[in-house]
This record gives sequence, C-alpha cells and structure tokens, in this order.
Amino acid sequence: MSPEKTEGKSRLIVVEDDEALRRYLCSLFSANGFTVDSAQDGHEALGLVAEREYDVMLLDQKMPGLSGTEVLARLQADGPRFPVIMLSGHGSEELAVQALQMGATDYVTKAADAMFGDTLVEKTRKAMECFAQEEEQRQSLKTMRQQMSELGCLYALEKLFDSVEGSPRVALSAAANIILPSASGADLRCCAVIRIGKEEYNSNDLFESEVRETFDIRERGKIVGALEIRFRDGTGHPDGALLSEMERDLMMAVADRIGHFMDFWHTEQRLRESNASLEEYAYVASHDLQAPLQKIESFAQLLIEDYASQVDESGRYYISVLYKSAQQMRRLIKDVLTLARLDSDGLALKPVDLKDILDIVKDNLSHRLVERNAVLTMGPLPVVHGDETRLIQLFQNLIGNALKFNDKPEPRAEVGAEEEPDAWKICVRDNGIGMSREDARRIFLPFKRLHTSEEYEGTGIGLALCRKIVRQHGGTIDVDSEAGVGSTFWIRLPKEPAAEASGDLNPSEQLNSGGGYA
Amino acid sequence: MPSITVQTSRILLVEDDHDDALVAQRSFSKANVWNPVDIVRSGQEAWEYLNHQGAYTDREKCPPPLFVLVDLNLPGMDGRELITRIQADARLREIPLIVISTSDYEKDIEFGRRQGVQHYVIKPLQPQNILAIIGALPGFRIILGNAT
Repeated sequence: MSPEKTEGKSRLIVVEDDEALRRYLCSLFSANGFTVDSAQDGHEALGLVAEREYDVMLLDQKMPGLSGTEVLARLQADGPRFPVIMLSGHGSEELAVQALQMGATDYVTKAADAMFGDTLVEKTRKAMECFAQEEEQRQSLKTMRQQMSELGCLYALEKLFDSVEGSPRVALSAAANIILPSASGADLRCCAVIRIGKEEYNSNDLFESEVRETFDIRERGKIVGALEIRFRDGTGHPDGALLSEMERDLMMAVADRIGHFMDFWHTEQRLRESNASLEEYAYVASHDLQAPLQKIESFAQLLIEDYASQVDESGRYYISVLYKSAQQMRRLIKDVLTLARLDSDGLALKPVDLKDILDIVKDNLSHRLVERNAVLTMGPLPVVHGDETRLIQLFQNLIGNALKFNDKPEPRAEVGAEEEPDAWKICVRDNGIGMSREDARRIFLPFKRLHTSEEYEGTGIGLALCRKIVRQHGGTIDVDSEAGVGSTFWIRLPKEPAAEASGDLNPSEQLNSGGGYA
Repeated sequence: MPSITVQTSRILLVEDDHDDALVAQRSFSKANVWNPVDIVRSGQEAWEYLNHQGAYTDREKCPPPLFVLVDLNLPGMDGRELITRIQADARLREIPLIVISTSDYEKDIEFGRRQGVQHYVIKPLQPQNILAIIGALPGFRIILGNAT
C-alpha cells in the first residue's frame, strides 16, 4: 500500500512502553517477514507515523504520558491510514469495545494465549486484510459521493442555464453559488468567482485572496474569462493541493459549460438582434414602399372622381391602369412581407378550437360570401395545437381561394375533419374550377400562378403562405383536384404539439417557383 | 331661413405630408364637413397647439379641437409619442383621437387599440371615414353644408 514499503514487506510499528515486550514483538514480526519500527511512548509513535507510511500498528493501551487511546484518537482524526491493533494488559470487554468503537481494527489481551506466536501474527495479517477491504469501501463511497456532487453540480448548472431569460447576469451569480459547494466540500474554505471580460460574478461569501486556482472559460476556443476558486490562506487539501484531482476535473467541466452557455447566449442575442432588424426592415419596407404607391392609387382615384368628365374614354382607361397597377403592387409588397415575417416571428402553439377559428374566418369573409352567393359549411371540428393568428390566415386563404377560383352560380366550400392515430386530417373542399394533376404539384410554390391576373387577380403567394403555416405546425398540406369539378385541400396537423418545426422551404422547391393558384 | 348658431369647433390634423393633407381636406369637403381644419406638421407642433404654447398662445384662435387626426410617422416627435402624451394628460385625454396611417402593420393597429384611439384609418382618408368619425363623436356639433 505504501510507496515506502521495502521489497513488498509490510511495515509494522510497535508502540509499547514495556521494553521486554517491545523487543519480543519486534523480533516476532521481523521473523515473520515484516519491517518493524518501534516506539516506547505515544509521542514517539505519532512522530514516526507523521514521517512514514505504515501498514499496521500494534498499540499498547496503557502507557505513561499519551495513552494508547489518545494516540488512537489522534490517528483517527485525520482519517484512518492503517489498521491499529490495540494491546491491553488486562482483558476488559469494556475497553475492547471502546477501542473498536474508536476505530481500532482489533483488540488483543496481553495475558491471553492469543498474544503469543503465530496467533498474533495471524491476527495482525487478518486485521490488515480487513482494513484493506474497509479502505476500498471507504474509497468507493467517497468516489460515489464525489460523482454525485459532480453530477448534481452539472445538472443544476444545466437547469439554470436552460431557464435563462434576458441577461445572463443573474444566472452567472447563481452559477457561482452552485459551483461553490463542489469546490469547497463541507467547510466553506473558498469562494467562486466567474469573470467574463470585465464583469465579475461571485458566490455570496466573496473574499480577496491570492491563493487561488483559475480555469479558463472559452467561447468557441477563445478565452473570454475565467472561473476562479479563491482559498482562505492556509487551507487546501492535506496533501497541500488546493483542489483535489476530481474537483479540478469538475471545475474544468464547469468552466467549459459556462463557455458553452455564453456562446449560446451570444448566438441567441445576435439572432434576436437580427430578427429585430428584420422586423424593423419589414416595417420600413411596408411603410416606405407602400406610401408612394398608395399616393399613386389615391390620386388616380381622385383624378377619376373629380376630372373624369374632362378626359375621354381612353384617358380614363389610362388612369384606371395606373390605379390598378399601384393597387396590385401594394398587395404584392404586403404578401411578400407577410411571407417573410412568418420566418422571423415565433409561433405560440396552444390548444385552439378550429370551430372558433372557422367562425372568425366566416365572419371575415362574410361580405364576399354574400357577394358571391356562396355557402360555407362546417362539419364537427377538433381542438388542435396551433397558433390562432396563423390558423386564421391559413383557412381564410384556403376558403378565399375556394370562392375566388369558382365559376359556379352557387360556390360551395366545406370544411371537415377526420381523426387519425397521431394527427387530425382537415379538409377544405370546393366545387370550383379545379386543376390538373401537374398543376396541383406546383401550386404551393411562391409566385406560382395558374391563371393570368386578368382572369383571377392575386399575387401567387397565398398557397405558399398556407404551406409555410402548416409546416410551422409540424403538419403537411396537399390537394386532390379535378379540373372543372373542384378541389379538396388536405391539411394534416399532428396531435402532439410540433417541436420546433421549420417553416423553411427547401431550396430546390424554391427554384421551381412560378405562378399561383392563390 | 332661421339662423342657427352652432359651435364652430375646429379640427386638428397632424400630417407632415402635403399631399396626404390635401386628400384629407378634399375628403372633408366631399363629406360636407365644413369645420375649419388646422394642419400642423409635427408632433411637437401639435403638442404646442393643444397646450397653447409657442405660436398657439391665442386660446380664441385655437380652442380644444373637436377631434385630432394623427399620422403615426412624423418627423421629430412622432404620432405614437404624441398620442401617448395626450392620453397621459388628464385634460387632453378627453379629445377623441383618430389615427390615419399608411401602415396596416398589426403592431401599429395594436398600438392604436391599446391607446384607446377612436378610429384607426388606413390612408387615404375617405369621405365616408370622416362621416364615421363624426358619427361616433359624443353630441352633435357639426355644421353641415348643403348636400348636393
């Protein structure tokens, strides 16, 4: 066990004030293959123990000065390092029990036969084996505790960093307090400081000390700060190191974790900023691009209203082209912006009753329904996980299309739902103009139009928008259609809330874009 | 004809764009609303008008307006700030506010809703918008011209 052990021999120390007995024990154990040291009192014994590693000690209980019991107590105070066999002049069960309770591995009465010869050597060997086993258990328990605390610390950090909203300031101070117990054990011999740039976040009991261990905090490989464990002077582990190997490993993992957190937070912040500037851009675009168009539109209208009688038929036609084109371009800008903003705005998925959604859509379209002499019917509809605003947009587009691309005297649109094991299948069926199979594959692409704007006005974005919305809900959209008979749009929405579904179109799909059903 | 005495309340239009102001004025006359419309070009100017400051110290010439039409995007103090300041003022809060804006952006409309403006009109301001605004005013204080 000990690095100083000579030639595999076990080193034994005999602590006995009776000279004759001491000599006897020394020769007995030397003869049995032990390296033997001896001490004649407690002080001498403690001195030797401090200098050397021993494998076992025979300790007389009753000695002048420091008694065996006191020596045992001092040895145990630093944690047991070797087994101690207590020797007693007169057998007393009480003393025996006391010695064992104090941590002695065994107890031998000098008077008994057991004291002599092979019996004692045997006993000593057994005590050493027994101690070795106990030591192994103690070590594995210690390792387990350490691992538990390590796991606990990393887990708590993980939870903490996951829950951060806004600035990481509070999180980092909390982190310092989570780290501290893992670095300091039970006694608060240190404090933890997280330094990021010029900012410092510390555990509650901050103090100054030059005695410290420092761990770099790296963000994408670049050092951005440090985790510092500061120690009160004169503290640290018995072997002189400030942190144990395990603690050091843990602190390195913690510093690593903090670096990841900072990286994550900065990335998120950049993303938030770029989203905000996109939002800003969209706003400016929607306002500044639309304002002049709106002016062209309204002044063309004023021309017609106030001066129509002063221009001839073709003059009036020119003005109407001005008016319609401006209007068309304004609608286009609006639709493109809506499509772009679907990406930047977050979805707030929650249970939504589709019946409520369709009621709102019906209300929004009421004017057109009356105008087109159309009928909108609804079957029983489920509650789905979705974003209210987007779902209104979705169904308003689909039903709007059902009315728009319809040449029947009484256009019909019908909304129904079917339950599947994992999803709701919602259909929007119409008796409109329908489309061919080839066209049906293309209509969900942005700017894909099947008709000229003279036949059916629109921007070609409506169905691309629909598909984006459905995808953001983790669902799919498809169409069955027959030219001249009608179309049925199918939407499949998963029953479980969609996890971070992307609304992005894949690039190859975007390349194919052309005109639109919408 | 019996003479009718009607309080000739003024209307305040906060609009920096000359053309939009022109369209608004035309709509007032098309709607046969002949109340004098005072036009100011910025939020700051509107604030001075309402508080009888700067060029508007004469309380006779600019009494509290019947309602205020506010464009949201204005130089300097914009329409949002003006509306927020008016609504925070116990006395001015009584004056009906109408937003006229090019923006149909939800955030702007939501802003109007939160501030409790009477109407949110997307430009151009049409004669029927003016009639709807007048119709929603408490009490009858309008001079109607001859309907032709």
